[in-house]
Amino acid sequence: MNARLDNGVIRACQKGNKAAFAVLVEKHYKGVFALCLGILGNVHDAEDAAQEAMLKGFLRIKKLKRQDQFEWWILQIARNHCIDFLRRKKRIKASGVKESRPSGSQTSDHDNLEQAIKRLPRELRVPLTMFYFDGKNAKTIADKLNISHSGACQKIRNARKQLHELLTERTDDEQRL
Amino acid sequence: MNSDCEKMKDQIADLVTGILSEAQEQKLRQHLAECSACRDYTDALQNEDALLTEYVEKMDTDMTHRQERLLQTIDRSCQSRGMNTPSIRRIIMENPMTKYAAAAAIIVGVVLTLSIWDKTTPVAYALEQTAKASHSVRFLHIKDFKAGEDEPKEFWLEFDDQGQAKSIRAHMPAWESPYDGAKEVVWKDGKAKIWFKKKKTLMTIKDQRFADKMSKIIHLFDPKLAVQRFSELEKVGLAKIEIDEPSKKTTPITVTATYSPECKKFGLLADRTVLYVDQTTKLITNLESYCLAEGGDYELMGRTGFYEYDQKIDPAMFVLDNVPSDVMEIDQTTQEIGLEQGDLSDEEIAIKVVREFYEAVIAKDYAKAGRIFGNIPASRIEEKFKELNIVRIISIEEPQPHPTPGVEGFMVPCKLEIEKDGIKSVYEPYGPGVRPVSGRPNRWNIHGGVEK
Repeated sequence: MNARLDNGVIRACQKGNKAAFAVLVEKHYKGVFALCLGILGNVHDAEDAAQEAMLKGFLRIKKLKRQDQFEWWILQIARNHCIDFLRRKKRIKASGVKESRPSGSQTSDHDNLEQAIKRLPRELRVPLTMFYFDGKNAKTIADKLNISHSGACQKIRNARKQLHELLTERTDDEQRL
Repeated sequence: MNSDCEKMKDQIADLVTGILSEAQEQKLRQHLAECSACRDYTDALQNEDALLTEYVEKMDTDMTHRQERLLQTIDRSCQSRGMNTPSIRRIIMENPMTKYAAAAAIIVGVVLTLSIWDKTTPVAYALEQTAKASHSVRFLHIKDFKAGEDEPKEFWLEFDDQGQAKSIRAHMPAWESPYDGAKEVVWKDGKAKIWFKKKKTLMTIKDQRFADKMSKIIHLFDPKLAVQRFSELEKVGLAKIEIDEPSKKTTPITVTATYSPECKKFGLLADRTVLYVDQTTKLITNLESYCLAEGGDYELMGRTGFYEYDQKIDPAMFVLDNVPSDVMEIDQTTQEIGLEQGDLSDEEIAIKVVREFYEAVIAKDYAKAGRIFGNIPASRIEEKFKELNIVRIISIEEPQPHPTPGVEGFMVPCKLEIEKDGIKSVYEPYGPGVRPVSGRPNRWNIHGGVEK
């Protein structure tokens, strides 16, 4: 769906057409989820944040003045929501409430990968996650994050290199044990 | 792994993620053939890439459930706020994918042709008659009104024996594109002439994308295709058709199509279309589009009027002969425009285009500068830049995605040194904006922003 058609759907949403919002959910939910996962580094938190962000978007859509900027707008809502969430989490940690961790001695490749992704710095984790969710299109990521194409490529490159180091570091540690 | 190999790590990461240029890939492949350490690193990164892809795909399979939960949450939120509209979850989830594919084909309209219409069993008497009556139409004049705008878009069409648009004249008012302003367009023999009135420019292009755009416009306005679309959508359960044929013969037949919401996915913006059909000729006289507003009312979005069916349009209509003599003429069909991208990345070619443009201006090679700037005549470039007297390029910065939504390519910020009365100063143009040449994706040119 191109931007012009997207605009028509958004105008329909602004007139209270709920079904039209479902079209936006189908088109943009994945991108919002990928951004939340990139910022939060945790699937469950990302799910909650993406739900909250899309719901906020639905309730506030009448305030959106430029329909052609819906994607940027909804990603900003998601980003702000995640940052608020991290602030709240930090406060809870500071007040001494312990986070629960998954139990079990068996870890799968996906668990290891998830842990390694979580340990990447956020500025690399966000573009990497979005890149893989978006069908490996660096140009789209550049547009969504408002950075240059070469800047997006550089971040993806560094993320991949660091992720390899983190994954092999774990393997080396395990071999030493 | 030696120090050269350390440098190769960047390229290996790019290779695995699919962002390495072809030229770099060739060099890297030569290195990999000789270096086992780098081959191992490549294998490891490729395995991790497969793992990442698998991890994302696994999460992707849950995406529909996540979306469904979200839609349920929105439904609950609406109920608690007293918004009384049907469940969107139900609307979206009950329809099988086969319907979506069919709807896409019908609405986008590229797949269906009149031959398909001819083979199908007519579902409604009035619709079939309208399709037959419209099929023989060779000339048509259309006015398309948008709610809130006084001036309509206007089209004059000539069809060939097969019912395909042969020549088109279009008047596009300023509201359709405030940046470009009002336009007159003539499309004939695969070439388009566009007169940008505000910009005092006459452009000739031969561009498949433009031709596709024109055929989509025609698809929306061609009455025989409108009735065909109605019928096909009804067959796959995505539209409900109601026909009202009044006994009074001077009152038009009304055909109302109410669309299922998922039609929006394929670009059908209206929730309802009403056709007014003349009882004698069975031809459409008006088409109205409505959208569903809050509270369940249908609100008029636009109206298309069909006039002067089959009144021969003077061939002179398909020639732009009223263009003022002082317009700037840009013919993109006869000359090469911009620069060839070759192996350069998009950012690299954008920088090269800006550098070569200003170097040509400094060297007073206005013909070359004009070719890089969308084929603007040398005299116009000289007029723009002679007074400014650019003497040196100070710097060209990293290209940024163009800030105007919908505009392709980059803005390439740069600093230039200008000299006036022996005094040198820094000059920073607004852009320049650089993008691929229309219809020639491997050539890039400047499209504006070369001055402040």
